[in-house]
Order: sequence, then structure tokens, then C-alpha cells
Amino acid sequence: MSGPTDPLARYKAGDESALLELAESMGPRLLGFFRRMGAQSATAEDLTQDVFVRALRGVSRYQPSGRMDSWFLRIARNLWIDHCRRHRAVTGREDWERQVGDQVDPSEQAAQTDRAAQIRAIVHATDPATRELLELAVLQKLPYAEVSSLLDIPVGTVKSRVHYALRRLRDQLAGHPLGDA
Amino acid sequence: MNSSPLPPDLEEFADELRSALEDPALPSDLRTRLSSPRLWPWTFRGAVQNNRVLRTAASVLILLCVSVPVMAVIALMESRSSDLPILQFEPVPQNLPSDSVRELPLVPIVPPDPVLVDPLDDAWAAAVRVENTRLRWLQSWTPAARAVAPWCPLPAAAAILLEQGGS
Repeated sequence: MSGPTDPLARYKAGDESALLELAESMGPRLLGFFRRMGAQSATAEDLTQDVFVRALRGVSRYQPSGRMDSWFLRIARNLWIDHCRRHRAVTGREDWERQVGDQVDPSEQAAQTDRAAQIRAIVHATDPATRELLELAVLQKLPYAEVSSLLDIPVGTVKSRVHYALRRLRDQLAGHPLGDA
Repeated sequence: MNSSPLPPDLEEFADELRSALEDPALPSDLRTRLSSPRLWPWTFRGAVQNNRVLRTAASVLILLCVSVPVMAVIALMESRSSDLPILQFEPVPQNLPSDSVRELPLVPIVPPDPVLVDPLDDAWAAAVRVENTRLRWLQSWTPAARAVAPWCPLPAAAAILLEQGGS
């Protein structure tokens, strides 16, 4: 009879070596979550570590039957909300605008012509609620049921909002001056 | 990672989004920090969450800290409500007794036998004179004493001295 394959479940069972695997699998995803939500690099790293600290200290409440990434992303979302409340002066959008401001430096202007850069710019120009929805449902690939539970909205609403947001982004990109480049 | 299915046209765009917004690489120092709980910062909250004894001790401490001032306030409120005198005006009684003057025990000073006293001692005579004058004044102003006057005849020597003093 084999043990649990979920690294978090193995850590809960007392396997300390599962931590490295957890760091390898969830670390980049959490870092990406915070960066895409608008955190600066150092802040994103601190928040990622906070997620790990909270997740592993509360591991006794983790049910191995659930999704590990959903457990981590729920904590990450709550931490991000707390962080934004504490630092209202520098919200995600302002942070992102500062980053974009850095990017429009003439020396970096060539990179703006890249389609990936256009996609990043359009995604980060969307409202925070839509960005969060796309982050969880599309980029983090959580099932609609998990997104529904995280955001506390019906599954059908999640589905329709995701489809609408993706279509709108695609249309915006098509209408972008460099969208068809 | 099993995401919910998207329509084919949106799935293609979603893949494009994922490739444009891919996760950053994990810095090596962060990887070390994440996989080493010993490097995690110690927090009181975390310690309380993990240690049952510390949790109980913190609960007792908080309970004591809260209960002492609360009990003090309750005791203060109870003592104030029971011991404070009620300030009010009493109505004037209708059948007040008339003013009465206490009868003073008028005991005149009886001078000693003049034979044994130096008649030239003016200080003694002056003291007797002053005291007797005071007593007479009191007699004249005390109704009870006036009613029974002369209630206590002065000795002859005192009378002589008074007459001498009056003249």
C-alpha cells in the first residue's frame, strides 16, 4: 500500500523531504500569482514565503482529498487582500503602472512590440476582479468549482465571466495597433 | 492541474495567455527559504497556533488581563450605588416646639473668709467683682434666673466688695 502522492499530504504525514518538492511545484506558481496581481519582486517573494509558512503551520486542517494548489492559492489570495488593505497607497495597479512606466523607457521600447508584452499590458490593464478570475481559472488552471469556492460566486457565473473576459481580451488584442503583428 | 474545459477558440487564446504570462523562475535563495522551516520567522501567532500549552497560557493571561479591570469597574459601580448618601430637603415639621433656653447652673463664686484674705489684694477682689458682675448680667438675661431672683444671696463680704466696686 503506497503512501500519499500529494507533497503536502506527505509533509502532513511527517515526510520533511516533501518540502523541497512543495517549494519546486508551488513556489513558482505562487510567485507568478503575486507578480501578476501587481506585487513587486521582493514583495512577491516575501508573500510567497508567508503563504508557505501559513499553509504548513495550518497543515493539520488540510484534507488530502482536496486540491493542494487550491489550498495554497486560497491562502495566497487572502494574503494578497490583506497586503492591499495594508498598503492602500501602493495598490497593484499603481505598482503595475510603475513597472509599465519602467518598460516604456526608450531603451526597452523594442520589447513593447512583442505580442507577449501586448498581452501582458492588456491583461494588467483589466480591472482587478477580472484579472483575479483569469489568474485562477486560466493561468493557475483551477477548475471552475474551485474558483467558485474561492471567490464565493456560483460556478455558472465563473464560467460565463471567464468566457466573456477571454473574448474581450482577444478582441482588445485584435484591435490593438500591434495586435496582428 | 485539470482546468475546466474551454471552447476550442478560447482554449487557443488561453494557451497564448499562459505562455505570455508564465510563472517566473524561483530564485535559489527563496527555494532554500521555502524548504527550510528553521529559517522561517518566529511569530507569536504561529507559536500559539502550534503549541497547545502556550495557547492555554495565553488564554489565561488574556482572561486575567481583561477580568481584573472589569471586576474593578463592577466593584466601583456597586459601591457607588449602595454607599452614596441621598441628598434631599426634609419638609419642615408643623408642630415644632417653641424655643427654650436651657437654664444655666448659676453658681456664684463665694469669696473666702475676708479675715483670711488680704484685703489689700486688689487682684483677688477684682476677679470676684468681675465674676459676680458676669453672673448678675446672666441673671438679668435668663428668664428662669430672673424668676427666682434673688436665688442665691451673696455673702456679706462679697456684697461689700461689690458695693465698693460699684462705687
